[in-house]
Amino acid sequence: MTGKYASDPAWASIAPIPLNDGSESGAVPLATIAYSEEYLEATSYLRAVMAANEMSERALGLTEDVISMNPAHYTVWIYRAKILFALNKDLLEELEWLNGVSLKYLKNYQIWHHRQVIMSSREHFPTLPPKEMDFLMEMFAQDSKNYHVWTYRHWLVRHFELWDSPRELADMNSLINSDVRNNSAWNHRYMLRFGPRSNEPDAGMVNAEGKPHEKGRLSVVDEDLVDEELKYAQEQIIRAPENRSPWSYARGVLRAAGRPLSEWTGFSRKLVVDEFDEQGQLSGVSVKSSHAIEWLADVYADAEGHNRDEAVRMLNLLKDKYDPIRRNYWDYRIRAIEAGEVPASA
Amino acid sequence: MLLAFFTVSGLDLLGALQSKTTREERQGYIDWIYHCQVPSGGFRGFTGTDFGAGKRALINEAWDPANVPSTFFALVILLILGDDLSRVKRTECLKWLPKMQRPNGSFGEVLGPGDQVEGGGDLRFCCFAAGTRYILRGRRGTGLDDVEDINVGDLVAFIESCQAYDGGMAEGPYCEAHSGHTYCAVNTLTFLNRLSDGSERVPLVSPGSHQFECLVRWLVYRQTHELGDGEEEDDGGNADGQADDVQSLSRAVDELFLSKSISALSNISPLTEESLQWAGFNGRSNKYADTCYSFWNTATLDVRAPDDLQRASANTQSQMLDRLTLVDPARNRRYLLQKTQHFVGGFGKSVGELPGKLRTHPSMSSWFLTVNRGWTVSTLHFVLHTGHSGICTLCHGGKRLSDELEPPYERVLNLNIPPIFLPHNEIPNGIRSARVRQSVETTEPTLCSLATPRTMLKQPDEILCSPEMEYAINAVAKFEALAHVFGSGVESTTGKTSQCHSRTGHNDSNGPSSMTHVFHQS
Repeated sequence: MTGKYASDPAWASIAPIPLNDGSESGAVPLATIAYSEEYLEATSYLRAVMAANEMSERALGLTEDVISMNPAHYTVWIYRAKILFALNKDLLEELEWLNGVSLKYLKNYQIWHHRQVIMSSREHFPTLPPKEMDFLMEMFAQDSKNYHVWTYRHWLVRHFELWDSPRELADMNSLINSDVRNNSAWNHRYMLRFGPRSNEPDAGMVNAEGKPHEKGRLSVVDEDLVDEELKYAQEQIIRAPENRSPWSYARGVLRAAGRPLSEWTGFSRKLVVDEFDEQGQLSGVSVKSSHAIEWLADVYADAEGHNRDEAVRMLNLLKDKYDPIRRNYWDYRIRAIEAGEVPASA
Repeated sequence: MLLAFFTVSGLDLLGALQSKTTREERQGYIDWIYHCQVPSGGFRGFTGTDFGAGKRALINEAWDPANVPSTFFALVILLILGDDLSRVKRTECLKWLPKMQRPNGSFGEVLGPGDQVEGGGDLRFCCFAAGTRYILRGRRGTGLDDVEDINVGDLVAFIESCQAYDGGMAEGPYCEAHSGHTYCAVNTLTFLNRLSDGSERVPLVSPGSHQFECLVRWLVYRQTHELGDGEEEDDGGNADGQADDVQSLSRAVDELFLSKSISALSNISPLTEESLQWAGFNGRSNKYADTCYSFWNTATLDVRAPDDLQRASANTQSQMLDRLTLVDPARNRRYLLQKTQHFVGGFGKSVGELPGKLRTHPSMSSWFLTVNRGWTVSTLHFVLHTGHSGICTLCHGGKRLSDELEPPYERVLNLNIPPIFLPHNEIPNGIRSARVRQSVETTEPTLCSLATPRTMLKQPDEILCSPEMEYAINAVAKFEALAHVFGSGVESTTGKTSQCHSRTGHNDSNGPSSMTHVFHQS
């Protein structure tokens, strides 16, 4: 080989391990990739230092080189993390470097997992580094729904116990203000408000040990918080009544609080208004949100709603006029009501 | 390993595995898969971490780890190729699986230094771990009862905790619901139910439960006429049907203000047939339609128990989704065929997009093209699926694709869909790279006949001899459909699969039947 590693005295002590794809022993490799010479050389040195479990500056530099050519190489990331800790490197510097890689490769699992591994070190990061959330907002400026970034931020909140951090709510408000349909931001808000207050790295659902219908419900409900969030959802619905996110959010809030959908009957009725002719006969409906129609259907169909005819009328509105793409689904719901099944979809 | 899977599986589904590869080649592929097996059980993702004979030791084995997704794919490839799995380090692999499980029930990707579980903790790995266990552990009484098993209860609990407040399944608890993870969640349960006593009712897949109905509703909600093609309101990459006015709120909303604000809102108009010609699927709430989600959502809705299994458990609550009929197949079909097909022979990610994100790293361009060609098959799978036509033929022009392109056309026969002319009139630079061109150029009229796995499942007598096997094929078929997509594009990397495009022929039994003996455990 005549590549940059082969000609570098710093690497003279290393005997590179060439790729063994099995073809010499008669195997026929599937989906072989036409790697570049540079990549082949770098990875042959990578195998050599990995085989020796070498924790060194040169190995660290090599991982950076390989990552720059193939950021999806999952093992090299784990190796890099191990070296960073072994050499007690400045992890803030690592984060700075990662910022650039992250902005270059927006959709990559490994980058964000690596960031989490680095940030997990309580020794290096007893508290949240001040610029971390700024960087995440920079990522959101590129793509405000980037799933990897949201998952990472979610982990950060639990790791550093940031549920009530003013910054969290302020950022969510800001993201929802600039895009009221950003479902990722709505989801994060829900986690801040109603997720488990446990810093266990993998905290599951609230009341997970409860009976099936109680899972996800809060055992202690802060009614003021619930009211506040319901009001917030209404404000956002008025900004864009056909936006599904706040409607879903409100369902989630009510369910977590163990309160009924019927709390919003009046609100929904303002968005779905019956019209009457001079004889007082129902002549039509003016609709400002199709989601309000569905909400009302769920309320009326509920065992306590006692108004199956009205529920079916609402579902027919969706089926025939306001949401015909889901015609088959609305039929399914109508059949369930007519069969006397209590809807489980509330 | 993923690409290898798509290649082999794609050929298999195309009915071309036997005719387009020799017995020696297939044996060579099998040997290559085994070459990827690590001594401690499981399979590595690619040969690039192999240090070579004699160099692997305790101190470095973490840098050459078995990989959870790759292990599942390796096993399925072996099965498709007709291998008997006799060289699989079955016990070692099954002993390795529990080490990959985290205390919260989820699975990681690889075992790092100090036996630390590395990689994200999301539902993809859960699905592959459950699938691996399903293939290798088999039914009870296979002599493996003393081999430590994964904690199934914890895994099921983890999956249940991933259901978001809106009903869909997320990567982890309290993350945002996502169609891909939803698919993985439901299919993990499919793999697990096969081996459990079947007596433990999982509400998520039990019709009538709150969890089930919310999940179905969420899946059905994913169908959208927001295609991001500029024909509806574009508010910067975020979709919502009505062009509702976003009004600024400068003060807190009190009841009076609320009423006033509501009365100031305009009524929405009923939707018209015209505005609803096309409806694809998105993967998350308020996102535009994207072709791959036509697969993830409908495949999840279609998960069902085979008839005979249902009969066997007639007195227990049936566990399945089986709600595919709730979507709108016609509008989805029109969306896929009329809105997203591209003349180079694939489906774009969304309207107006080329089949391939070719602006990315040049060496990845082939990969991306591959990805999108994969979608071709997966989307066709759906067309087939809902069209009940059994066989679908994709006709790919008769012209050599070159720099002077003929007006592009593709059509799907048997579905009464006319030839579609696409608006693109130039090929992007990225696609001209030699490696990619190799995969799109054809010198003869190309016809691919695709047999959907569903077709096979409709004739269980022919190929199935046990409910377990049907379950297996059902589960694998789903991955296969996905694989296809990739499979048809991997030609440039194997130099083999490209041939499958240049022949005409229907064979609707070669595919899945080639793995019929695969899942026998005894």
